[in-house]
Amino acid sequence: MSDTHDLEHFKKNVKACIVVFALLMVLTLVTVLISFHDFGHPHYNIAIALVIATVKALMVAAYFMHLNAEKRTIFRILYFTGAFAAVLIFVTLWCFADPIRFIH
Amino acid sequence: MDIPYTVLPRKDTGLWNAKVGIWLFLASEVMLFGALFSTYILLRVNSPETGALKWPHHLLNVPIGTFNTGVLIFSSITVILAWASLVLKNLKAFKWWMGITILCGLAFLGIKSREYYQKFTHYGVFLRDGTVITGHMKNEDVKLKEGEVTRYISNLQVVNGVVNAGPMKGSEIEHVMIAPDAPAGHGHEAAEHKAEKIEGKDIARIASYGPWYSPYFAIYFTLTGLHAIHVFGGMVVNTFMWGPGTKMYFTNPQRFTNRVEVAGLFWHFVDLVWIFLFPVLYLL
Repeated sequence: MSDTHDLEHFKKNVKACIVVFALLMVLTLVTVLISFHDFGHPHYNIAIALVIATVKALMVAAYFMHLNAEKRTIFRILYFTGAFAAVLIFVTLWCFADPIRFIH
Repeated sequence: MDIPYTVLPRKDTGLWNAKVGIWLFLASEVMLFGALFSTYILLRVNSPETGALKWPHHLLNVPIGTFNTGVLIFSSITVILAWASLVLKNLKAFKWWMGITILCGLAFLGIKSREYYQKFTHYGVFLRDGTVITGHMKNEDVKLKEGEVTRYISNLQVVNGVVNAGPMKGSEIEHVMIAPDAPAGHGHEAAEHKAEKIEGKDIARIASYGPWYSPYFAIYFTLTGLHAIHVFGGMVVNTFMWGPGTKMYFTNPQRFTNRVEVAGLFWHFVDLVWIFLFPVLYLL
């Protein structure tokens, strides 16, 4: 951060974080409000709320955790994490394909 | 032995070591919470579609949960401002912002404890005909059968001097008095009716809204409890940075700044987990 240019860039990033903070607050309120709205089937409510939550999480990761300007090493770690977490959830859900479930 | 690469980046990773370390740790945290989220999905998909144990909607207090979400998001921006103050070499501002971050953590845990307390003092009386009456009871509202002397009907019961955790069976009870909840509020514990008497022979079990109440409450307490432990852990680290840890600023300011950045990354992760917990447990 010795460079003046770097410092300006840094200050800009902090300002972006404050905008992200305001957006997160707004999206939280939106999530709450639409949870009282009937979209026809609970599945739609769940899908919409989870999409908003994912957007919020990505905003936190990109700006607050500054992944938008991070080194490749960290992304390599995170690619594996994402893949394994997806497998973890998929393997668990696989139990619904078990035919024993339909006997009783 | 000195830890290498606390300030300067390693050639092969391009990063100072603590940065790689915290991300590896957060990766393992993703797997931990991922496992519990898949547990949530499994419990929810398999929960009964009717009856007392069906998955509740808006059961928790939404305004309080929303407020607490705001507190946590706010603390995420204050921890950034604390770190940014250090980068700009303003120690005084760092102390202020970090202090506010710690207070926000404290507020979050305080509000969460209050929510827990309200659940542990709220009961469901499961009747033999399958219906359930929910409401508030006090210890003296439960009359046990003869010979069963002392009892507390909250999460801990003492029956004949033996301590039992968890729900109580109807066969141990002569009758209870319960002040039922008003029907169908939007998650609020609205105005109560006056106490009703229920005979022990009609009761299958009584349980407070603890983890033993239903699959929903089991996963609710597991997820929010684990999250609260993380908030607490983050607060311990932040308090160290705010207090005795600050010493390092005068000998090695860049290393101290990096430490605060890493503590901040953990704090943001805790916020990120809550971003999913809040809709999943309070709203859907």
